[in-house]
Amino acid sequence: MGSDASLQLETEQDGIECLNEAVRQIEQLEGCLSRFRPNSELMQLNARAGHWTDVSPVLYDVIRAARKAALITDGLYHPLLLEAMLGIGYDRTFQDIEITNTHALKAIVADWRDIELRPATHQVRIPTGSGLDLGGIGKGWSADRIANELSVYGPCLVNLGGDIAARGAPAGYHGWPVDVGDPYSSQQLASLNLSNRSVATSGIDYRHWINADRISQHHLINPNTGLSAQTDIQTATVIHANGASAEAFAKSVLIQGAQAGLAWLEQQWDSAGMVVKTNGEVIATQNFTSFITSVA
Amino acid sequence: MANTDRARKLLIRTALATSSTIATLFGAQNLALLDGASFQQIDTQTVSDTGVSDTPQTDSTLTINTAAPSFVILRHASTDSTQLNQATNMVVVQPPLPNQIAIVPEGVQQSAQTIVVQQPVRQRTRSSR
Repeated sequence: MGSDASLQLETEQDGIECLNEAVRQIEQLEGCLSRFRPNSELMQLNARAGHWTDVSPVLYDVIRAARKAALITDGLYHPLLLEAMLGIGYDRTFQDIEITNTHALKAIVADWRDIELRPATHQVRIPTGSGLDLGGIGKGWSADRIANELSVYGPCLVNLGGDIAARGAPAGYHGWPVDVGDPYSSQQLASLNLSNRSVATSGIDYRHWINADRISQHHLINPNTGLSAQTDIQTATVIHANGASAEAFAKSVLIQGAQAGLAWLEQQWDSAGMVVKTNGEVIATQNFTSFITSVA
Repeated sequence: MANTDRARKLLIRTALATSSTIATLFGAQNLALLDGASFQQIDTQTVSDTGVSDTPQTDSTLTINTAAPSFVILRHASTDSTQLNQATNMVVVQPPLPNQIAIVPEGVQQSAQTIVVQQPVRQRTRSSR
């Protein structure tokens, strides 16, 4: 996942062992879902594009969630962007990426509807010549999974690289405190109170670079162009009942732009969002304010 | 709020999900001390007849206006575009931010990799891949 993880659990049980087990699960999920590990199950599936492949229940469920997210977002969240990601120069973990001298290559993006699933046998077939990049949705899904399992022992919060799942609330609190960072400073923009919700942020603030054409590149691809999305949003934060949807919806809002994106988000079930625009303006849906405890 | 359940402990653990190396974690303290923890209650303010939304706000200097049929402006666009332009045009390759963990210096019950903390450690949602 190329990210740091943080787990919090309030429990009367052997919390240390609970958290140890959770970390082991994160490592297993990493081995399954990472596109930066050549031997991950995901990359083995990509190597067999065009062929039916047996996959684990975990990979199957994440692909199913990704396909559902693509359907809801009308393809703005798109799980088959691996070639496009490689085309813009994002071919390694971001810790290792260098300022690229390459030109952005517009990739032909395969149709996500051509991802085929066989539920009875847990088999998947992706289109020939395409590659799955589960990206942030894998983190959102994983945070939910770990949080759901930890919540058996007590209130918990799981943070996988900024994708956060909160279950219950620690004693004396109405929820878990979560900050939304200001992309234009190191300060927090707003503090949230989350319980039984997940939150994800997508943005062009964190990982971008200038290519040989002096064009700003970032990792959020517009599937309609195959290139880095041109948007008036710097970061988009979405709160949702599940982390995979929060992640996919945040990307969708960002690609659509502030007004259209938030209007679209308001039509989605149990969703709340806030965006920081490139001009510094911060706009939120009405229901997002119910999660805010303070604003910087 | 009183914490009546003194057997409960709040634990935190961090890990680096890029490899099998697990980061070492920090100190400890019993959650029973949570009594003193403050919770920032939102101070709701309603202004219904001025066109200003009736959404919660905590900072008297904060302007919250309706932006669209049901949107809320939490901060207006910057009039000083210099700073924002610098931010958007700058070539940035940032390493992941470490979690901002408040290390509790007293009553440390050091375990191998997990700590007990007095109150929840604030987490930050951010963009990443």
